[in-house]
Amino acid sequence: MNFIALRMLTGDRAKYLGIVFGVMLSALLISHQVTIFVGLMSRTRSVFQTLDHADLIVADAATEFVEDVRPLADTAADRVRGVGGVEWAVPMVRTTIKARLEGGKSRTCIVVGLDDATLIGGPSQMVEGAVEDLRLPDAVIIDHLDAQKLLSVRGADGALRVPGVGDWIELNDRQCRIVGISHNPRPFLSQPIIYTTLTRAQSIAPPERRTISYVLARTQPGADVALVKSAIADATGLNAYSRREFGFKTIGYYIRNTGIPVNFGVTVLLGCIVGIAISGQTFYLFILDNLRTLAALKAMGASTMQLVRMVLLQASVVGVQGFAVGVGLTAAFFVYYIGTDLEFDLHWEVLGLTAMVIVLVILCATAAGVAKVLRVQPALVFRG
Amino acid sequence: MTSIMNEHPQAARIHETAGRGLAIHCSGVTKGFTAGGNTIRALRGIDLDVRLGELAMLVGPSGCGKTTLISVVAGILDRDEGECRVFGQDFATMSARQKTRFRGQTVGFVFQQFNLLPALTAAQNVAVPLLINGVAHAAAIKAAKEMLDRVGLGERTESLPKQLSGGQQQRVAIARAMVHRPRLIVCDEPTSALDHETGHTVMRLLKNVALDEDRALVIVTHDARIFGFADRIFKMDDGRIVDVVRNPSASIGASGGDAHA
Ligand SMILES: Nc1ncnc2c1ncn2[C@@H]1O[C@H](COP(=O)(O)OP(=O)(O)OP(=O)(O)O)[C@@H](O)[C@H]1O
Ligand SMILES: [Mg+2]
Repeated sequence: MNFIALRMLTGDRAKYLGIVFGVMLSALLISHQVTIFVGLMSRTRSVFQTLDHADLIVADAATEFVEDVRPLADTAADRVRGVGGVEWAVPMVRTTIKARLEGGKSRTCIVVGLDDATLIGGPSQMVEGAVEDLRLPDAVIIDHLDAQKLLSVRGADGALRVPGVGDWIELNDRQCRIVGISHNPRPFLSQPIIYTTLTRAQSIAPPERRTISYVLARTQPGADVALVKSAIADATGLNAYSRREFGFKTIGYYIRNTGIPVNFGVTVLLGCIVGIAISGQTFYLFILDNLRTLAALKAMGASTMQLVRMVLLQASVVGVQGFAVGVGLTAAFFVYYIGTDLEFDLHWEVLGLTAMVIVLVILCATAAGVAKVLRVQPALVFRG
Repeated sequence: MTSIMNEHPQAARIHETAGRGLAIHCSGVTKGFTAGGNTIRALRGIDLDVRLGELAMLVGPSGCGKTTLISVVAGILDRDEGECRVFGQDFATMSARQKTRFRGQTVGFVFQQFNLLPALTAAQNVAVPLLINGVAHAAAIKAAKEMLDRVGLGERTESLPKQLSGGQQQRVAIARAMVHRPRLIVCDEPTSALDHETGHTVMRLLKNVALDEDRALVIVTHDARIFGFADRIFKMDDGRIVDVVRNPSASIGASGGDAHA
C-alpha cells in the first residue's frame, strides 16, 4: 500500500511539487528567520565570549543588560577582591567615544579599557599583532570587520583605504595608534569595538565617562559560586553574575523591550500560514482529484486506516522533502554570508524547532484531506 | 470454502443451512437517498436470487436503481430494509471492518470508468487487490502478470493506463477484478465505453475466466449487444425487478442483438 501511496503522490508531478514547495517555503522562512533571531539575540551577549578567564561579572545592581553601563566606584575592584572565595578581580571600562573619520565625519565606537596590569578581557582572537602590544604608547586594537567602518586613512595615492597596523586614528581628539587587528564575535550593535588599556580609555573618554563599568572576577577553585556571588552582593552592594546569567539577562531585556521578537515572530507566523495555505490547498486538491481512486480502493477492500496511512505517508514524504530543501536553502544562505555581518550559526535546536513547526504545518495542511478520506464513500466509484 | 468462511464460523454455518446453491439472495430490499430534503426511493423492494455459477445481468432505464442494487449486493452501500445474503452472509450483521475485509476477499469490481490508478503500470494496477489483502509485493506482481497474460495483455504489463486503449484498460480492470479469485464479481457498464468487438472480447473473458460453479457474476448494462452472454437478465424499473428473461442466448442469439426486438 505504501508503494501505491508513493506512486499516487509522484504521479501528479505538478501537485506533488506544489506541496513540497509550500512546505519548503515554510521551512526556509522559519529556519532562516529563527536563525537570524537566535543569532542576533546571542550577539547581545557576544561581549562575554571574550571574558573567558573571568567566571563572574560584577555590575551595578540596577544594570539591566550588558550595554546598560552604570558607573562603579574606582574602588569596586578592590572591594570585590576582598570578598572571601574571590581569586582575583580586575576593573573594566566600557564606554562610547567618537572617532573622527575622513572628511569631518565621525563614528561612535565602543571603547573597552582593559586592566593595565593583566589586560584581562581582551580580544580572544588576533588577526594581526598581540594583545600585549596595548602596552605601547597610544596603542589601540580594532576589529578586522570594523576596519572598513573606520575609513580615515589615505594611501600614498591619496585614496581612502582601510586602516591597518601602524595607522593612526583619532578618538575624541586624541591620536591613537593601531597596534593590532582582532577578530571578535559579531556584536549586536554595529558600533566598531576598540580595545585599549583602562588608563588610556579613561584619559580618552570625556570626564563624565571615566568611571569603571564592570569588575571581572574569578572564584577560587572549589569555591561555591553561588555563595561567592551573594558574598559579593553583601559586601559591595553590587550584583555578581555568571557570564551565562548576564547573557540571558541581556537577551531577556532585548526580548522584553524591543520589537525584535515581534518582528521575527510575525515573519515566522507568515511562513507557517503561507506554507499551510499553499501545501494545504494543493494537498486538498490532490486528495479531491484522487477521491475516486481512494473510493475504488475502499470498495476493493482497503480499510479506512489503510487509506489514512497512505495519506499520512504522502504527507510525511512531502514534509521531509520540503523540510530538507528549505533548511538546505537556509544553510546555503548562511554559508554564502560567512565572514560578513550576516554570518550566523545554524543551531540544531533551530532545525529541531523548524521540524516541529513543519510537522504542525503538515498536520494542518493535511487535516482537511484526511477528513475527506475518512468520509469517502466507496459507493462513489459507481457514480458517473 | 474460502478463507472468509474459516474466519467466520458462524457465517459459515448460515451458509451451510441457507446456501442452497445461491450466491445472492435478496428479498424486499429497499434503499432511499435523501437529497435536499427529498427522499429518493432508489430500491422499492427488490427480490433477487443469483445462483452459483450464474452470470446475471441487470438492465433497465436510467435511474431505475441498477447501480444502487449492485452497490448493496457488493457491500458498499447499506440497505434500508429487507433481507440480503451474499454466499450466505449478511452485511447487516458485520462490522465495518468485517465488511471491508469481506469485500477485499470475496468481491471483485469492474467499473464503467475503469478507475485504474494512472500512476501505476498495468501489472501494478492488477496487483492492487492483492496488496490490499496483504500479499507481499513481489508475489502480488507475479500473480498480476499471470492474470494479465490470461486476458491477453501479457506483453503490456509495464504500460501505464494512458498508454493503453480503452478496451485494453478495461481488460486490465477485469484482470484486477479477478486476480484475487473473488467469488462474486460486480460490473457496472463494463462495455459501454467499448466498441462492439472489444465488448465481446471483454465479456468472453469475464464469462470464461471469472466464472465457475462456485462463483457468480452480476453485470449492470445498457448494452443490448452483450445480452447474449447472460444466463438470466433481470429487468428493472423504478426500483423494482419487473421481469426476468431466462437463457436470453437462446431467444436472442449469442452473437447479441436487441433484446427488445
Ligand atoms: N448518492 C445518492 N444520493 C442521492 N440520490 C441518489 C444517490 N445514488 C443514487 N441516487 C438516486 O437513486 C436513483 C437510482 O440511481 P442509480 O444510480 O442506482 O440508477 P441506475 O439505474 O444505475 O442509472 P444509470 O443507468 O443512469 O446508471 C436515481 O434516482 C438516483 O438519482
Ligand atoms: Mg448506474
